[in-house]
Amino acid sequence: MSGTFVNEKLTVLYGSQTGNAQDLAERIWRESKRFHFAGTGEEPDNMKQFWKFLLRRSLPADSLKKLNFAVLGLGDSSYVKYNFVAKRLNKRLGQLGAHQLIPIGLGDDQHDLGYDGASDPWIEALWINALNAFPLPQGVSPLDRNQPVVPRWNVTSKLCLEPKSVNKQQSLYYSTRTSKEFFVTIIDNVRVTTDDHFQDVRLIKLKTNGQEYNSGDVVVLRPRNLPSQVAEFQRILLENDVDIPPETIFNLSERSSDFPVPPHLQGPISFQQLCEEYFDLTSIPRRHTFSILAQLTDSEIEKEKCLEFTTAEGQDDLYNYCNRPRRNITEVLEDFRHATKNITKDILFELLQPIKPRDFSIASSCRYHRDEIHILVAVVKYKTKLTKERLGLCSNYLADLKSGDEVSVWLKKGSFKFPLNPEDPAIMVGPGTGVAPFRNFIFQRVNEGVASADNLILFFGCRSRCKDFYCKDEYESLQDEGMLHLICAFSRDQDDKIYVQHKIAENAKEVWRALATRRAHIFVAGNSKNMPQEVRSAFARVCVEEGGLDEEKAEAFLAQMEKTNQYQTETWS
Amino acid sequence: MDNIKSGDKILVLHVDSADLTDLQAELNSKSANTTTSLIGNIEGINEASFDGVIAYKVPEINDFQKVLSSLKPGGFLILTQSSSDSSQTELNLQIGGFVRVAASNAGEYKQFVCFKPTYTAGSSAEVELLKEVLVWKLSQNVDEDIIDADNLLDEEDLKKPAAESLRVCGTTGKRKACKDCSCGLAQELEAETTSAAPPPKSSCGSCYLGDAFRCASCPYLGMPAFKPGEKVKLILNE
Repeated sequence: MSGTFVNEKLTVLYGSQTGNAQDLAERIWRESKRFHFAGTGEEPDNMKQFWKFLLRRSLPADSLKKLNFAVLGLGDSSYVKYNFVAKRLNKRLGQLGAHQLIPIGLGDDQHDLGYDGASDPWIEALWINALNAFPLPQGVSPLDRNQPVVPRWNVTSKLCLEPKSVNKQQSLYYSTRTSKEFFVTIIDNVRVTTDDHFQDVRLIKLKTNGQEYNSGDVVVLRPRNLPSQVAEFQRILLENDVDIPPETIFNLSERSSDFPVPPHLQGPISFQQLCEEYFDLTSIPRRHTFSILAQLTDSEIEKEKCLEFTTAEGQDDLYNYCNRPRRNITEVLEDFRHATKNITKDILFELLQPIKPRDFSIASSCRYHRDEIHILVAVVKYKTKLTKERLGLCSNYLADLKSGDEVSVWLKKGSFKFPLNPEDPAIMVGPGTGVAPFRNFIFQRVNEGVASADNLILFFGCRSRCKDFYCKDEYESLQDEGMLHLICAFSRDQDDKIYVQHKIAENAKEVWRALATRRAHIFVAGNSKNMPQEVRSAFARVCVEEGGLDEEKAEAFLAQMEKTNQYQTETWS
Repeated sequence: MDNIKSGDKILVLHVDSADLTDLQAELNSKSANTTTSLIGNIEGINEASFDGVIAYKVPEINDFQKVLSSLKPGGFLILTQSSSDSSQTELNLQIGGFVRVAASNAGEYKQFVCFKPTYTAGSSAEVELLKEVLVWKLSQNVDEDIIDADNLLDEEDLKKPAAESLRVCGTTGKRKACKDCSCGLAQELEAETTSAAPPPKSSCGSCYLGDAFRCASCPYLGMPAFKPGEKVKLILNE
């Protein structure tokens, strides 16, 4: 076994907002060790600056001729600009003379297996081609595929004898919070759909200290696992003789400089805090999780199954077992008890993913709704073939919050840029909770005294006028005062389905007038799937029927609007 | 020994000719053109005349330069030494001018594989140092002329993936039998093509293991794993 050969230096650069890219970067780094690459991973401090530099016209076409590269993008094909960042980067690097090892990988959240659908084959291809470019010399072979997973951090623990030494009320993230974080208090948390409607949607009002925000801005918070989820997780551990009392204090230390302990995990933390705030007990296990379980289990039959789930051929089965029914890590641990019983504290940090912060479009205007932030939350609850109901982590956490509860949040710029000139109409298409950023903008214009039915056109869609037409009273009273033109599509109030796109067609004349004679901006927000595409087609038809453009020109017109940010989309799944 | 190609000129350096029988046989099988020499006689060897040198069980090499010069550019050296003699060897090889040095263990011996560089001493290649310095000078906040990033995308890039490509075959609802199927599903699936009568129902042996092991007709699908013999209430689905 060679201990001294070191292959080329491999640098993994990642830009990660939700932790997905970082997760993949870590995986690539781990696997590169099999081929003796000297790997480092880096998150460029300033992606924008890096990109702007690469775009310089003065860079010669051979600037990067000594560079071998491969790009993997993590995108979502329900977005118009699907993986555009990765595609542009890939092109530009090639233009500058860099040598592309393998074609670009296009991870797609819409794939049944999520990003793994594209990244698994891309990573396989990467190693094959990297080894062609940098072959291992004689006597040096790649390390075995199923390398033992080494926990990234060392964990020591002690039972906390004085419960007061760790402030139970204090969040794990409290002492390392940034200056942009602040506390809000729940004013109220009201269900705005009727009880007989299938979906529970809340309008949650948060009391701030006057923090300012603009239309389109987003509030970010960290959800916690529900008490029932925490109890269930701890029960499953205990049942399998993994006895970690909730008051146990964990102390983490670094094993390698490649994986420093993040600031918020550096102090003493209790197991209870980790279970409530850090470990995502609802995350769906991935391929790598099963490598770890295979390593842990002492049952041959379990080991065989787990290893199967790590192979390319086993991905169909993995999908059927985990992704399709949305089976979470807690449930998998219950199923694979011979692995669970061998869990050690340090391995927990490999098995479980950290809870990611979640974004919500702010539905209030900071001027009109003084000292308040409102959010619209659809509580995610649905059945799959699993007996137990599926619960969305964040929405159910929020649903349980009561008046007086405190939450730590911070603000972020959203993607929407609303028109600054009050003369410019805003045509807003926001079915369901998509309406949130529009309520923000509408009340901002109301507060500025410039709101009118000419410059605020809202297409709102829901199932029924009397079930889920939330904020109805507000909109109708604004409409009565001539401050808003509200057009509703109630999909199930009649035999045939009426959606927002049908209403756009119905109001073609007004829409065209706003587009052609006044600089109207179009905004589309809401739950993805087909809606954005249908809406866009409806606008294209308006251009054809009212504007007399042919189909090609209508398409070019809309494309130009998208390019200049006059047509903006923000959708989520 | 994979470095050796048929017809290669190989120089074998050794201490004791008795060691060589196996090695000689292997070299003959590869149709290598072999010359052997005692390690002490290396002075007389011609320059740049060998595709590879095999230094077999030699305690030390005094003059790596000589070995290097006997190789053609790109040629290899395979050096086998007892582990006790080899502590400084890797360093000496690198200082001696060999590249891509790899060490491995071969029983109580250490084996080193390395190569003579493909460039020869005295050759030159242009190094564009100055140009690179100018290009990569990162001037902060200078509003440089940049290209339009949208022009980087072409027709292909604007395309969305086909819906079928996003699906995993599992959604076609394939029925699958457990490994040690005792409930008859495996037979049923096999018999499907010949349309035999469905076999009698009997309890599946894998139910308690959890969904990952259950067959498609298992009544416990959707429920967690349980201990064999444990009484589990079946929740009737609608």
